[in-house]
Amino acid sequence: MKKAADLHREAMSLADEAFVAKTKGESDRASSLLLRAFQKEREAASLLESDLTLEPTRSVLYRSAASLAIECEKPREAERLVAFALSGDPPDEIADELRDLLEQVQFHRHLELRGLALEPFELQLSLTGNVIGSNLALSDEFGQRVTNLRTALRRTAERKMEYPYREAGRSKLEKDFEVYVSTPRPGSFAISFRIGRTAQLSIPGMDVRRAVIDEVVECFNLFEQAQSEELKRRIPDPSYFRSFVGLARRIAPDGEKIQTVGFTTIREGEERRVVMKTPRDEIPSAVVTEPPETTPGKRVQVRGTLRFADARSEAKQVIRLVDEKGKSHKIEVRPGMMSDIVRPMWDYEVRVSGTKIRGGILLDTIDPIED
Amino acid sequence: MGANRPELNLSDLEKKILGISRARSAMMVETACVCLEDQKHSSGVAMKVDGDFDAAFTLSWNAASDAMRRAWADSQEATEEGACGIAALIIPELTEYKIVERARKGPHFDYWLGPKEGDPGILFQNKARLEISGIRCGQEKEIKARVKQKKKQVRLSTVPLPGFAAIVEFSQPLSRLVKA
Repeated sequence: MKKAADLHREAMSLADEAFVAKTKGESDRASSLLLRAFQKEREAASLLESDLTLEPTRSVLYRSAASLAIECEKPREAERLVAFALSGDPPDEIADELRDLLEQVQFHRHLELRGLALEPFELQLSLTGNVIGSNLALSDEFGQRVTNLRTALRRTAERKMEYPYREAGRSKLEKDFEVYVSTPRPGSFAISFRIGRTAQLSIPGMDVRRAVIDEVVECFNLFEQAQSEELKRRIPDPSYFRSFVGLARRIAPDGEKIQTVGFTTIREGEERRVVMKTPRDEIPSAVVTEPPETTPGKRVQVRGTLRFADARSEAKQVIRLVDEKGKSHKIEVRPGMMSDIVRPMWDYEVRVSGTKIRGGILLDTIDPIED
Repeated sequence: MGANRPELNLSDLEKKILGISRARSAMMVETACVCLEDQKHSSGVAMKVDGDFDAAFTLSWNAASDAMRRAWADSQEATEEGACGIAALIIPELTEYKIVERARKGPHFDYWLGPKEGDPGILFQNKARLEISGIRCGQEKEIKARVKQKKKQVRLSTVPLPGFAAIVEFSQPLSRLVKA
């Protein structure tokens, strides 16, 4: 038993190191550490394989090993470990947690295309979570992700076409950028997006539709890996950058209703998969907030209803939040956020985080309050 | 001292209650004293515990020194650590657990709880999770919001064992202890 405890401790230390490496953007090192953590935890669990009386330790260790297997993208290993845990006599609550984990394993199957041919200008979106069932999804959670993904695709197309960021007004691609959405795949909640073919979306020597899909998927990957510097190198225009990060936060899982958001594409016959697992509230602040040196000041948070928006000046756009005491808070919106991020929340009760500035707050993030 | 309220002496944290080191326990004692005195309380103050529990205690401690106040001048750090001290005292009084181990960074809670009597147990046998948060001086709305946030945080943990969240507010003083 002591050996299992020691192995578990080593596994958790390695998982901690992997977490730190990930936040530093060292994704290869993080993956290697996570793999070692998984191997140690699996070994710890296997020492208790035949000790069916040692509950809940046996099932918790197996669950922990299975969870690490999923993080290492070893769904078959995870499935096997969950099966070992359930084959014992886990307490009811832990058995439920193990079944939830099995659903996450199933998610990797939903990411697989299973014979479906995706064109280069298509992208499959897969969701799992407490509000996602087989062929059914809570419409709000599904709908806002479809809308925000469509916006991210359109903004990326505009950026690829080297159009300046558009704070308001119609896009030059308004009529030429069509996104089609398929019906859900049987037995899962996965749908595909297709960018339609138009003459406008054309640059000699470049398949723009394919380039847009590749770019969006890679940017989601960098966002999930918290590689903000690399993401900034890909999206150097600050307005486009803020728009993408704001949309990615809305698409990201909340950790309960939606637990994973996956993207699958096909390139040269190989499937490429990117999975967003980090809950929205746990995304490192370095990814979603402006560096402190650019906006020194105290970080603050206020709640209220979004009642007023003034977007007459592109350089200085303002919204007002009215809190439950009727007090109005002036919020300055940075370029790139009003149209895609703030406007859809008009008249909602929201939580705003930002930096205290003279006369108000400079917006970093805004989220609807979902009580 | 309150006639009908059990007394909790912060100094006991260093002597017998915890399953962690005396040095760490001493930090909890110092910070809890500094936070309570900062809110103008003296040893013998009454503290209510509500949430999923209903209790009241008399808190006693030795006066904080200037050196302690200088050591814990970072208000946020002192409030969080001091809240751990108060939570560590009330948990064994109201549950079958005591603090036995600091949790690592990832799992969404602060401390492992183990049986308050006897051996702390191996791995996950008879263990529970505890998340603690401190508020130096806050209103009911802030306490409620913090409880909600911390309960959610404990539920996100990947370790499916019993969980508690303790929010300690120093100005009243009040502890809200809930099952997560």
